[in-house]
Amino acid sequence: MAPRKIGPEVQGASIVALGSFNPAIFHPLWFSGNNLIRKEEADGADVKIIHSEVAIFSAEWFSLQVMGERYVVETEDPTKYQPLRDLALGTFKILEHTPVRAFGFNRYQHIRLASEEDWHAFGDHYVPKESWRAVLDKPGMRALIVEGKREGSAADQMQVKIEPSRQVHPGVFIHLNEHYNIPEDSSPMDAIAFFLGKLQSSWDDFLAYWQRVSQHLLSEYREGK
Amino acid sequence: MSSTRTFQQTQETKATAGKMPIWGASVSEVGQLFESAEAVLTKPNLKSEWDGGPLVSLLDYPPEAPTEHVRKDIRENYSQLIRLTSPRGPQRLFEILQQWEGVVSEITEDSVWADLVDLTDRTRAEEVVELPLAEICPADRPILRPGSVFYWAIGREWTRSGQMRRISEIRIRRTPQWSQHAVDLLNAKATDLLERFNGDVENTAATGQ
Repeated sequence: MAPRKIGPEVQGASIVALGSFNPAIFHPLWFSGNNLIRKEEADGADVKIIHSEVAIFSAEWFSLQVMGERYVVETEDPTKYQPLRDLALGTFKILEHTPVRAFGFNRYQHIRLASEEDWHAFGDHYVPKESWRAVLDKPGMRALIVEGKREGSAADQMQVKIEPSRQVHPGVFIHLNEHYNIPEDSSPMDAIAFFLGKLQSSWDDFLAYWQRVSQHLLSEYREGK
Repeated sequence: MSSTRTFQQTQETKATAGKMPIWGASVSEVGQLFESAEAVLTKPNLKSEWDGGPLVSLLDYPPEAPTEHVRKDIRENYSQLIRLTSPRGPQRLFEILQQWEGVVSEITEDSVWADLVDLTDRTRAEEVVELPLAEICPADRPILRPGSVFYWAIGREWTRSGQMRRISEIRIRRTPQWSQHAVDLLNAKATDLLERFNGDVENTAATGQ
């Protein structure tokens, strides 16, 4: 395979929920039967396993993994972030009695930097090495996670993670996670309503926030060069 | 035997994920997070399930596969922990130039009229557009009707070999079908409201108010 030198890098988004799930339900044909995906997409799905304890398959534009306590649906097609939200929305509109206790939105991207010098400058800006040189030779940033809150969001926590990319060099991997806990005294119906409400109202804002964060991180270090 | 080998290979090559940082790792994240991933699933009761019917519905087995050698393979090769793989979905190297959300207002014989909101810049004014019906994927046409929401992206896509092509892609939003139970509930509610409304009308007429 020839190395690709131009164009965008791999990116994706996912929706994760923690709760109590019945993996055996999550078959591609269940999704198409409920009009959540095209029949052709279900027919062409690459199913790894559907079992009472785990369901894993990938379809044309998304992949899904459900275990007893964890539901993850993800796409690495940047044109499908809205359909991904719709898929999760539709799924839990149908499975309206599913107990969910927490959920999160994720967005990530590998970003190629212009040069190795830029790559080092990025790491040095966010993790200055002076403090480490007394105890480490050649210190380098392996990963950095910073958490806080997004203004205007009801989420419990926002995490931004940056790492050197393992996909592109010189490049960085930026990952954003917005985490919501559902109040413990919520009934299952209230919990699902909360989850679906945030999916409906906050997903687009979360995606827009990703743009702001990634652009900021990529411009901020250049000013310090 | 070939199915047995395929099964083993499937398990070996697809088995890596499992316990991921609660929020850090989604399904795959393109190899960025797998090094720390360890499996955590307990072993399901394969034998009893297998005896009863379809167990692992798709592990590359032909329908006649659950024969003794496959059972033996499962017994001997499944460890106490299943090491799951990440279900890597297709990665798409796509640069969005513009993306809209549209609502279908009218469908003619060969075109679709729609109101568009620009998702790449929501400050832009709404637009009205006429799209050729041929732009809609045949799989989506049965659910296309006035009021349907769709997503329209135009951009550039790169193949693995580096070839770039321009793409315009439309996808109709899918919402769950109403269950018969839900339809029955709504019908009952509508009937109840109608009866109350008619009752109010009759009461109002009787009292002359």
